[in-house]
Amino acid sequence: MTIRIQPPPRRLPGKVVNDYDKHLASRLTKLAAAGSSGVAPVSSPVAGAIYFQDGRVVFAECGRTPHPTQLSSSLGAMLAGGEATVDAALELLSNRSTSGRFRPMAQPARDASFDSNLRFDGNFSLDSHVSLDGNSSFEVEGLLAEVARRRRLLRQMAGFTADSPLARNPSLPAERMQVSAGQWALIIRVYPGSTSRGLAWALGRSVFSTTSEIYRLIVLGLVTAEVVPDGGAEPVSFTRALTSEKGKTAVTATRRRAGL
Amino acid sequence: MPLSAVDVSLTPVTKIDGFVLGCLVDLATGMVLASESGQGDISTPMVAAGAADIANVLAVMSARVAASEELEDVIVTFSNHLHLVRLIGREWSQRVILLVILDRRRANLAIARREIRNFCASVA
Repeated sequence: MTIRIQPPPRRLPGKVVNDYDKHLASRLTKLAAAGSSGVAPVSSPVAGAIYFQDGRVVFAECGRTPHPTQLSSSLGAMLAGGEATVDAALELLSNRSTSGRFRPMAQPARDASFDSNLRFDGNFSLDSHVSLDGNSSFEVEGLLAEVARRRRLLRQMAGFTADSPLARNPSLPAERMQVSAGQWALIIRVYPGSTSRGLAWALGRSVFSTTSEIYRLIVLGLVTAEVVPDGGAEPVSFTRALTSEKGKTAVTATRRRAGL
Repeated sequence: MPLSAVDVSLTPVTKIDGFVLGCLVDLATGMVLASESGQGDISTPMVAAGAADIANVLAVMSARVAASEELEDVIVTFSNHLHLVRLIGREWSQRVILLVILDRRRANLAIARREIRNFCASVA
């Protein structure tokens, strides 16, 4: 089966501030406040959709991130579904987007044909449906905070992105090294010109988590990317992503919601 | 709890003597998947990020040492609290850590470690 990944988006006029596209974020916030159920399509520059149930986001998808692979364990399956939603939301909110008309539905369902033809153009098809089980759901505010956090993590990666070309380092930086099964699965698939996004699609994994894992392999010296000079990769810090000026805002918002 | 990324109840963990805070964190992304807070004024995102950073730094060390071992858990002892971090699942697709913070004056470390180990085995 040939998998077509949407090409990188052409940047629309207008600005995406550091955290996310404010226009789309504002729209999602209004839908959440109204307790909406249905589908909010996004058509340009990255096609996708965000699904609401009673004002919460139950799923998101886009043409640049893969759908979750079916996993055997219950925890793995739940992780995959939730991660796919955040992964798609990160892609949709990272570009100045054009959103289509919201389609109200009592029970939001995704178009099963989206996988095969990627023809999502803002006109949602009702031909065939797959109901969403709603095991993972997100408050819009929490989802936006998570997208902002991931964008701060990406900014720590010294210009490395999901679309940066990769190459395997021909020589190990040490006499022997130990990697996990997941890291090995990535290393053996890296060829000149591979990208983290391509590897994510090949393995049915989140683009962001694959990008993070590949960056760790770059820090270990097992994989190289032209944008990262040799020896110039510093490990990503989740703590540092929260302690920037924007990070303080995210933590404050979380504590306010918790009533602290 | 800002996100409900997984439908996993942390109730068994909250019953550990001295329980202050518990959360599940995705090691690959740093995202907090679920959390429960018993008492205190501890920032869940901050401690979760710190726990994930510790686990990932140890993973880098493990890669370079190459001792054919796997990280199981980490215990960090502060003057008033214990931070226990345990890895759930070995597969890349579900590399999640459980962080439990206990009040050091009320917790029994051996019992807490057993309860946490049992919980992680039930979730994996």
